[in-house]
Amino acid sequence: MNKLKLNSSSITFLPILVCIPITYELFINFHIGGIELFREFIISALNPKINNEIIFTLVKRLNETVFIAFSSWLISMMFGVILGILSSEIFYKIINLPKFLKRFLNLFLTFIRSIHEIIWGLVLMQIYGINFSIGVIAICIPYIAINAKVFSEQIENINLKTVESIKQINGNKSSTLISLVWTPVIKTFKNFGLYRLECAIRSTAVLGLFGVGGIGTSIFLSFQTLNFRELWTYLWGLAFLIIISKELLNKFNLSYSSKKFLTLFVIALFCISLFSLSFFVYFIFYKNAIPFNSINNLLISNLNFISYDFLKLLLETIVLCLLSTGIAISFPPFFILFFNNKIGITIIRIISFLFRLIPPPLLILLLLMFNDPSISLAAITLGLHNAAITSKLLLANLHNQDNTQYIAMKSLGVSKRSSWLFGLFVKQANSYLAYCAYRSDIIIRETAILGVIGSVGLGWQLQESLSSFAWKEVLVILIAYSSIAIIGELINDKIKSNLT
Amino acid sequence: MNKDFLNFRKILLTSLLFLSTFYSPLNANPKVLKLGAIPDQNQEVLDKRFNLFSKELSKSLGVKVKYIPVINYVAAVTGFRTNDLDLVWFGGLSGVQARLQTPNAIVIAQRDIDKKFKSVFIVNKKLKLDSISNKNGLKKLKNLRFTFGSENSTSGRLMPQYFLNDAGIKIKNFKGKRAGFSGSHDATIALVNSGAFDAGALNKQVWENNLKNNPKRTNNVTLFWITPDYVDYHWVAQGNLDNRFREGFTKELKSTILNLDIKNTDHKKIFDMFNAKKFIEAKSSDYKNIELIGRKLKKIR
Repeated sequence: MNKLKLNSSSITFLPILVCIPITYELFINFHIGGIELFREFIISALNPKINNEIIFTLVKRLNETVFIAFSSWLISMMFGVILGILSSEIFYKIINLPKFLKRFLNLFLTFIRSIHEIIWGLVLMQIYGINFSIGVIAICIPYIAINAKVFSEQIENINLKTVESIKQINGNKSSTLISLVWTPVIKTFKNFGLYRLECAIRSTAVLGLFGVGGIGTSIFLSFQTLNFRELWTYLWGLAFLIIISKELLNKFNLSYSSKKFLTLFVIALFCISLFSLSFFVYFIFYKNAIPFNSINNLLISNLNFISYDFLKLLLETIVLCLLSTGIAISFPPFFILFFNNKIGITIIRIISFLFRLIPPPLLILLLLMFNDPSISLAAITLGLHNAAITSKLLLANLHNQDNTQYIAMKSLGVSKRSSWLFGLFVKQANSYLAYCAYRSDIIIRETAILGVIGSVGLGWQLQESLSSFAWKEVLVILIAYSSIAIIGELINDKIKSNLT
Repeated sequence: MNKDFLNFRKILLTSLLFLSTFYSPLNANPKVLKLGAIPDQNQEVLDKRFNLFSKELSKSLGVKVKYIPVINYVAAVTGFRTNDLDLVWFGGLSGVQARLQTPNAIVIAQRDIDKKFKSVFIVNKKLKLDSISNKNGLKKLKNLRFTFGSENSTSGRLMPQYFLNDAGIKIKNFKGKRAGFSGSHDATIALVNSGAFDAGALNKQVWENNLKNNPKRTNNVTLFWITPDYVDYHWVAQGNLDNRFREGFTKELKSTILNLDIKNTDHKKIFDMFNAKKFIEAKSSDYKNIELIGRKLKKIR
């Protein structure tokens, strides 16, 4: 008999095992107390509140959201490209600069990447108050670093031999760099950049839940007062925004090597740098030094942790990461395998769209109507949200893939499921896993937001410390988060390099 | 190809223009009195209440007054500290937190009812729990799903937790070893009413209003216990208003608020929204006890 071999396709299915402890815990904590409210929530989805007043607020909130999302997306893309180039091997091959600069830059980027935009938002809000430009800055910081990483990885794929040969004919250094880097940058921008806009919109919505402004604020306020019809007006508004922005951006046909485009890039870069600088100056000088002084005062607050509790929270956070990553990896292929027909796939698409649309903090609030707060509840929330994202990617890749093998196997009489598994999915498994590894980086950071509401792990402690204005505790928690995220990223890098 | 390219440029340029004008620092106007409030109730109620109040202040002080809604208690405290809010309607705890972080802040006034404020404990009717006469009865709440209001609410968290502790109940005695935080008093009622939580604690004022105006929302809830009284809500202002507006401005502000009269029809609307009959003098020393309890429960460090 064949032994079960660990290859990449079995690895994608294996994590489904996390469902056993999760289902168990969810089952013992289940109660039907919230059934009435949930029914109201579901019915309201089809019957959102529509009147002049709410449409007016909706449009206003959507405007804010677009402003925050679009400007942070633009800024983070631009700087992402630049930092991506600066932190790639090629750059140092062509321009002779000491290597430690690269290492230093990478370290710096890893650090700022390791903290979720929500946490940046919460902390910045403490320093600068309520001002929705905080949203732009909070999203930009980690996004720039994430984009830089993706761009530099793509640039790293350039064949080093080309660099050597260009060097030998003594080409101009900067034009060599640009001509080499141009194609992968534009290509990544097309594949990845547009997707990041959707991410930015979603991040803005989630930031809004914590008071930065935009649609998220309205969503949260209407949910908090359990005004479900109003809530759905805002949620559908958000859905509309995500769909429209994607359609619009798909219309842009970026040319691969246009000189004009390059000049444009430089002009835009200049304007955006100027804009960011003015932001910076505004915050430092105009907002006067009071906040900084008061921060100094606040740091005198004492630390109230008992190290045992802290370790427990740390452990909870790690378990939460593992469980939800398990769900995010295994659910999409599992469900696609089981419901592998047209109707099934359409249903999966719709459900995953809904799970992407409803911000995870809202999702966990809904689930809390039926369950006591627990790690499993937070894990299933985070897992489902991320599974919705990975499933979208998987479906798109499967769709674009050459399916001759699948058809061939089917016509040979192999069952539909097996031929899907061995004819289609096997080819995708590697790249899917690599993507999931990247996604798990994000999951680690997202545990922060869920903890805040689902009352588990470090996120819960963070909220408690923030609301008691205990800054030293906040600092310790941030460092803990950052180290979990950095370690996670190192492990993922190993996994990714093994996969490719 | 060229057409697409032009399109992209146009959009990029417009967005840049939009970016640079939208957030110019010049937009900030130092002559507007920015009013804030902790979001302890439905946003609609708060909007109505504080827009009315701003209008009245603006009329008698002759300056522009703008009500800026905030999303949670922490944001109100932070907004006050960072000078984004000039005059804020704080609860007991949030007011103390804000004043500790903003050295020159001044207590302006409180409502007549804030001197003797109360919280209520409510339970879902399905549990068939009779109401209790003293705090020792709170022990019956053990092993139930319990929710507070907002984390930093005085009447929805601090004082109820204090009375629970007094009766020997710790947070870990509730089901799931944690208490929920519904976010607002109205939400607490709705969550207990629906059965998502078995019991909760909230502001007595909001409870009575809901009983009167929203009987449907309180169908499945019954009163469990009314707490002894304590001081709560108050108006707190920045210490630099005289410099920013004019000499004696803080005094004028104070007397305007204290002189609001329920016999005046315009003012009566305001008092109806505030559930009070008048605003009265308040001192920061009135809140010493709240500060002590806050420190004990580690909400003030």
